[in-house]
Amino acid sequence: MKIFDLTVFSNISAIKYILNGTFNTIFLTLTGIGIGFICGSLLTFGEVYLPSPFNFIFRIFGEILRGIPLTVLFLILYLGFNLGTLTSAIVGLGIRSAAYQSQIFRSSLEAIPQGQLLAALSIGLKKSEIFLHILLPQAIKIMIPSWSNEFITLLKDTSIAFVLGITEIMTRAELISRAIGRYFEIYIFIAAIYFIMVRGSNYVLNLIYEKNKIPGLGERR
Amino acid sequence: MFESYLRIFDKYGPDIFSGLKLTIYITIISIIFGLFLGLILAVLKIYGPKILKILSSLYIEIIRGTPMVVQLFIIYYGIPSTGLIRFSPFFAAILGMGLNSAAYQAEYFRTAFHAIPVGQSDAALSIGMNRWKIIFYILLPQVIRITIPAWTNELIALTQYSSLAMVLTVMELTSVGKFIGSKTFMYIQSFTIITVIYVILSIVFTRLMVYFEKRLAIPGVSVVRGRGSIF
Amino acid sequence: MKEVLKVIDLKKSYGKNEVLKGVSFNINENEIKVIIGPSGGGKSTLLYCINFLTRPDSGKIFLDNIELTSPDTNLPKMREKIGFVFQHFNLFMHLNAYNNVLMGLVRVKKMKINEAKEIVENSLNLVGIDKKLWNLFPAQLSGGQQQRVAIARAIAMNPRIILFDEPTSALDVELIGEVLKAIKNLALKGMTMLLVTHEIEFAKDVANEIIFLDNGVILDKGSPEEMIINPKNERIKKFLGIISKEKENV
Repeated sequence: MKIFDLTVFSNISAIKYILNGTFNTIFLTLTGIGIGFICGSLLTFGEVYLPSPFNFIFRIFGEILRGIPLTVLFLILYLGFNLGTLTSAIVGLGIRSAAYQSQIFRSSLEAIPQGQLLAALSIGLKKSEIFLHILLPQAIKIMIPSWSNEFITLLKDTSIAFVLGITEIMTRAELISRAIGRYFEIYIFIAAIYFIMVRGSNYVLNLIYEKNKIPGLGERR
Repeated sequence: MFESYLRIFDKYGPDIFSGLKLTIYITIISIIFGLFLGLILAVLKIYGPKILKILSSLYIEIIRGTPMVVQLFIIYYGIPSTGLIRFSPFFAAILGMGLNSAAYQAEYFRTAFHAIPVGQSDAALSIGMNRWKIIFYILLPQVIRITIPAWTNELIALTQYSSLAMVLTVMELTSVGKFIGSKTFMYIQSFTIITVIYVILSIVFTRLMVYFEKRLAIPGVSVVRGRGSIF
Repeated sequence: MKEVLKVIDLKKSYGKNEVLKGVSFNINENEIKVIIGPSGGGKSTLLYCINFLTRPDSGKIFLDNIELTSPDTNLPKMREKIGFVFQHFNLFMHLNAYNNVLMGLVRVKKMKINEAKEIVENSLNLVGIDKKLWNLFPAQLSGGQQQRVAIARAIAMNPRIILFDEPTSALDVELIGEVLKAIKNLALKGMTMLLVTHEIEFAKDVANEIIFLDNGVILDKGSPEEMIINPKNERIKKFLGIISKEKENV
């Protein structure tokens, strides 16, 4: 038996089947990050701007969500609440990303030196205008590096949707390798696909960072 | 309503407990494995000879560029299929998570090394220390303290990723939850119990690390944060 | 002479700590008043209260005979008329020097960008910020340059009065001069100003009146002549002694 059998890759239809899984992976990543963005913004708003007992409730809620493993979250939605596999995957990834994105949004807002708020008040800006023209533009720039991290984490974590049997790359790889009886080659192959997707996203996100960076704001990690 | 929870505890208490034990073992052993390997990788990446620098960076990038599930599958299903060696599910889980964590921890350590002002190394050189002595006696004691918050987050992340050992058939906490659900058809209840345990575990780990952070704190030696953070 | 600002019996506490214990004074148009006194005496709190960046507990504040302390005051509208220069500059970090000055004109005064151009340029010129610095972000400017941009931001709003909160105390010694020069330029233009500063020589030079604030009350006030050259009050003498000793040590 060869250690690494290249003839595995001559099975074109099998390889094609796996490669088509990338569309599902990308779909899960984008819907997850999108839902996470919207729900995460709401969570942050609750944590930062609601009056005292309510902001605390939002915060506890976020902390609990961040404490649940994604695997468990998927299984609760699928087995407990009887959602379909795809719905469970999308909702699970969305909720989880919301919990992390809200934390990114909050710490970015808090990272802005408070003196600027006083200065903005002193030239007569209203609170809503301060949020829109002073806080938001800076928070967005500050959050780009950690938001990029979250994007890439989510991209990798879509592979956990495999426990639901969603036919993204991971599940397809599992099916194929079981069918042809070779595991090593197939898993190395999809590792390479993930690696390319991660580096590609990283490259694009980095371009966005470079284009938006401002001296003294939001250091790179 | 509480009756069903009590029934689960009554019948499956020992299973939950053994699942929790496995989850804790996997997490702790793999983070310590990752700590040592991560430190070595970080030191090599910064101070090592050129070839080791490149190898270390390559390792870190590849691990961080691929999902943990895939890494676990390569170790548990992939490597045995080559006929070379076979691991037990438990060992495969620890090996996979440890190798994964090492890459992330290496990056935290590297950031911490760079956070220490260069002047201190110059001062150490000036009193006659060599490179390895400087790393060991001057930089490491500070690096460890600087990294604790990132390390806390890594511990929480690993606690959660340990649930992936389920796919390697390890009967850790999440598998136990699924097992109980399949026996009783009370999935919501069984997973609620599991979730509460995970959240409590996160809180306990975090408190513990905050305690260490305070015990070891030195004024003026600041922090690096890691992947996600909680509490 | 027209009265611009009037403060009557202003009080402010933080918990049990009574920082302002009833402060009253007024400033007429074109007047420059300087507040001096030891740290923790309530100088900054007084300025923050006047601009409502901190809410006073009691007392009244009038700007051009309109009461700021009444509950139905439009605060943003009134703040627009009171400039404020902070100890730590507080420039908007995501905007370059030019846009820092432009912000208030566009967003508060609702001017078009090209209408505001002349005002921004004049303001920056007045504080001596060279055209080549206009495109730089705050983090790329020296402390002295940042503070001068902050002053330009305040004067661009065409305020009735500008409050300065220790504008030079966060600066390295060699940068203090350029900021004081910019403030002096404003004085020559007839701007009404209320300054908190430890620069006694400068105070003597520009002030119409010097107010000594200690422990939350105005201990004494008078012309620079009476207050600095021949102070009668023992506390003031002691305070000035400390200041000049610090200067020698620098």
